[in-house]
Amino acid sequence: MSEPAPAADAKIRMRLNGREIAADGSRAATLADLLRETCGLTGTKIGCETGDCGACVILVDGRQALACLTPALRADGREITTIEQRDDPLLERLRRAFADHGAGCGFCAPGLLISSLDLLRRAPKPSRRRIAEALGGIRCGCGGALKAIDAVEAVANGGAEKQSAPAGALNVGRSMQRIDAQRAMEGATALGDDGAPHDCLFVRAIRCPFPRAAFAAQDIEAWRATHPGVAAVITAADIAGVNLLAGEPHARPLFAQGEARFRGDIVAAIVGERDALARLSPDDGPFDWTPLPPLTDAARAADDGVRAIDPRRSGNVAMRAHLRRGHVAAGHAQGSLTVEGEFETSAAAFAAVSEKGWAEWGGDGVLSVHVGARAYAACRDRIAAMLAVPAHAVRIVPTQRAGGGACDPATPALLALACAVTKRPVRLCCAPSESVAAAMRRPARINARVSAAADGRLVAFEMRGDFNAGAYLPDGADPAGLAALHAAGPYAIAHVRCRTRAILTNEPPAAAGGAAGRIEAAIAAETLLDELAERIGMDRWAFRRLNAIGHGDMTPTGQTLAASAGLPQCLDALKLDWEQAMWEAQMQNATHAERYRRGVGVACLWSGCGALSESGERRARLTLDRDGRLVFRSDVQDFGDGALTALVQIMADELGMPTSAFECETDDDTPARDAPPHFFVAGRAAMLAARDMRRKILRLANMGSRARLSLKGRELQAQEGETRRSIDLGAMTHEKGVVFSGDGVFSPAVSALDWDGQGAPFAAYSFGAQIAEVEVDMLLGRVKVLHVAAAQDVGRAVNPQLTEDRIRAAVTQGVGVALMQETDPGHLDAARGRIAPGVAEAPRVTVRLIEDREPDGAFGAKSLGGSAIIATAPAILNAIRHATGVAARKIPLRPDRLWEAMRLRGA
Amino acid sequence: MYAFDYIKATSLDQAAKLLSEKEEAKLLAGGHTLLPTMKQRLAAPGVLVDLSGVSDLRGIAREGDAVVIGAMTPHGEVATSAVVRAAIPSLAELASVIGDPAVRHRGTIGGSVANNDPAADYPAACLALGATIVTNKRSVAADDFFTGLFETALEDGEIVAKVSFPIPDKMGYAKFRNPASRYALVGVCVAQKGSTARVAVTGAGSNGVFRWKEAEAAFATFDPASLEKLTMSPAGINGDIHADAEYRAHLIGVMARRATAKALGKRL
Repeated sequence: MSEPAPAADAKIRMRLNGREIAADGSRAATLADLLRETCGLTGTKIGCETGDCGACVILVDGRQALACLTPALRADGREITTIEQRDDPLLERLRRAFADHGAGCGFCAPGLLISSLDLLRRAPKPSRRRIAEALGGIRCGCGGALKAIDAVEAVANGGAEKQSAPAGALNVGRSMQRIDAQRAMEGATALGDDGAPHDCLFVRAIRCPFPRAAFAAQDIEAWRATHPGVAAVITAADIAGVNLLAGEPHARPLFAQGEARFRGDIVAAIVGERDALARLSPDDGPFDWTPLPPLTDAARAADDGVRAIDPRRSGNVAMRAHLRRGHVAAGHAQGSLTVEGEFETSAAAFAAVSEKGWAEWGGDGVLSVHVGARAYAACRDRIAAMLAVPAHAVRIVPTQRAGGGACDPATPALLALACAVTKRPVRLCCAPSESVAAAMRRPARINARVSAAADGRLVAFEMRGDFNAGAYLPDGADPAGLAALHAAGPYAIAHVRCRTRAILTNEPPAAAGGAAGRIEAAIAAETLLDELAERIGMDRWAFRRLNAIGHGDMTPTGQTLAASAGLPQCLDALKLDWEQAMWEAQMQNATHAERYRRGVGVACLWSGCGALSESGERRARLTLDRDGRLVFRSDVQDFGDGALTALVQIMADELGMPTSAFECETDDDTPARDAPPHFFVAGRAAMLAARDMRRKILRLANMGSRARLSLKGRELQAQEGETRRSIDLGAMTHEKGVVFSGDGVFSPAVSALDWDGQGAPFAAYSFGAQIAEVEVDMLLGRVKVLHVAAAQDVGRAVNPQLTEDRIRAAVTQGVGVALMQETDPGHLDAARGRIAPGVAEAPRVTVRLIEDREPDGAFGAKSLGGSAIIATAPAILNAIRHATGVAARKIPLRPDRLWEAMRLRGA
Repeated sequence: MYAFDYIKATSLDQAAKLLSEKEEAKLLAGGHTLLPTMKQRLAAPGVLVDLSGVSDLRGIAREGDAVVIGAMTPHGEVATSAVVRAAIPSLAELASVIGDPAVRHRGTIGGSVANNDPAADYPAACLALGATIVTNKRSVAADDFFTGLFETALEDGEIVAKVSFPIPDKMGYAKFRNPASRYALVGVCVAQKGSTARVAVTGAGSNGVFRWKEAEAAFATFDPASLEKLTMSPAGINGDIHADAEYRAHLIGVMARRATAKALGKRL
């Protein structure tokens, strides 16, 4: 509150997690503020701020409340329970059960734990349905929460805790608990701006309120003088270095130049006291805006002669990707049947928790920025270039990325700049309603044509895709390029031609990631394959099995798959699922009323492991210091997918030490990259680092290669048979405290693509196939996904439980892609588009792991399974077509779209 | 969020006095609509007058032929109330499908009615049952109370104290939830008392909750079949990113029949 409340005493007396406390409520508007800011308990998370996500659930006098929607002063005289409560035996049991069943990134942990606690206090033996209902309001972004119902049921039944395999056994292949599970369940995981110091100034971007506008600064100094508490207004003039968030040719500036190109484009930033910023309305700021007519439709923006969004370019086609193999026209002519379709997909956005962070000057003169950045080394180098300082003067401290989301590149840049200008610690805490919709997928329009011979063999595949890129191309992987490479699917086809374009428009730019490009392309190809199979009169599963790419086959880029190509195995693993599902659907439809129709669909996927034509090395470093700390340093970030846990398992086996010996830190010296390393690459580098360290230790200890290592405090022991040697780490010579180090460097075997898109863009590919069973309400167009069976070739499942969880999460997100996810174009509210199935809506998923080992991967591993998201939407859409006859062309297939399509068919 | 002052009222009179004295004062009930709008800076009250300490505003009682529910009664209490379950079980069921558990613990009937959100459930029950909204100044019939999107007949300084629901012979409520967000895409409440039937629709009207009089007139007998030939025109129906107007119009027809079936203890 800006001024003391006249009638209320700002002192809040409450019993917080069993302790009587009196807190100063004068600066806290909501109970979430009071807990997080005044009491320092950041375990209660802030997500949507509108009551949808459930990350802020607490108990007030034993009843659930949303802390972000409860005024702080309402806590006076109450008993408050948060995730930090440590002396409730029931809560402890829930904590352990959640950690055992799959913990996730920690974002929705407070909601899950507190809601479950409330439920079990009221109903000690709830049914699964009741558990699902109780947890139904909680949105999990990463999918880690999907086993929540199992966890609560386990506690309710008083069942034995899950036992991990005994220590000493090999770690690779073992379903051990995630290394960060316990912390997540204690609310100790730092997300967004958690952990920001109390004396921070706040930063707020001045964003363009129109899809396109010219802007002019007023008298900034005069404006500042009339706004007490505003410390600085930062503009492009304050940037000592380069005003760029991405390298050429994308060249997105932090502060727009000339005109603002999208709704939410940033022109300046205000830094000031929290209360001073709270008093400002969203469009407050010393700028005048002149709205200009925007170009939002990609097809129109691509037309010749249309105004260029980027004045340095002649048109709006920012990128073209092209792939040609054989002669597609001749291929179509050879085919006896051809199908064609045009598909339109929608934008989808990340979780809004991402646009938060803080920055401060360290004692060493290094500026640290704490954010959930996607590629933090690239982020570090851009900021250094912006501030015109050496790269080592900037450190990015990655906070947990909630549900795989990452912050907009503007967020760390704003923080760094504000900190550099004001010389004060600064913090950015963008409410979802004010955050730019950093879309993980932008709308696309794809036209595809597929031909097959009478015997069912695919002979030609052709596609054109236009991807609406927004106002700037994303840094790193571009969806249009990935779409062209993956579009023909994991099938052996002699004649392929794919042409895609990334088109600039006045819409918010895309963020990289989220399997963008591959998902859209798979939807087009896989739904057409179903139509083709049916026209040929072939079973849809058999049609795919006949054409599936396998060992020794050639991809559309002319790359021969020498090893690890397990799609045929994936399909075979699903054969019984397919036959059973088809039979059940037939029985159900024959014997039940016409109101509900069952359908079954199948779809395949493939996905290149690593960045496109990623050249050069990825590094990992393992250090053992004189205090006996064994630290893994890399640029790998775990966003709830368990990547670090799997890497530790790999290193533990390679080094010969238990997983508990490892700590994980980020490597400040890692070279800048546009994307974080893929697990395939990171795993190999980590394994090599462990191998290198082991070699050095054994050489010093003069032991053979079978020696076992162990660490007791500062004492490193090596034992082989009866021979035992002990190394006192504290007494060893060292460099900066490091006694032993291990370096792992891995360069995947890839090549650049030629003009026709021929070459080896990826060193390895993951493969998968899925079968979806749906029930369609014919009257209302509502689709219920009953079951998805997912077979995925991951090379080697380093941690089978974790891999299954990852696949289950990906499938659940795929349900969102098929049926729900759609962002209001240009809407300034990232939360609105993040429509994903909640805990209760997650479908039943059966996972079948295929391990066709990848020789270049660590222990054969190439993937954690996240690419499973690619096949889910097409499998569901195919199932809906099977049930209703409606071929989806506009995605997501919302109930109203399906209903209207069914009505048109009927008419 | 803009800064605000907070005052906890202890009586209805005090709250009314504060409301008329303080400029930019707003009443705070459950806060589940007001706080989000404040966070989105769509509302900027300088003072929040909290009604949670006003004990007269809470409670459920049977008064003659009506069930009277205090404005500050949370949805969860209505859902589990023995009084409501005995007299108007379908009203308890309506309360039990509002939002999620956290919302049902905090959100109140008074807040829902006074805010008149176009997707709220209670306004449909008020219209269908012919409820009376009792304020600190007067009693208003539901038909006169809901005047438009987020608009009601409430005047400055007027506070909803309780809602009185006449006990119907039969009532049914059917709601189509958005598969993702759980809000009502369409909700239809049907009530029958003596020879009259009332049908109210929420979630769909571009002007908020409304009575579907054609459906009321179509009830030759109170059963779903009477409504089968009716179609709702998409004109005046809301279309948005979740569903277009034609589909919502279709849902209204289906939900009205389903609500009628539920009122008769049948499934449709």
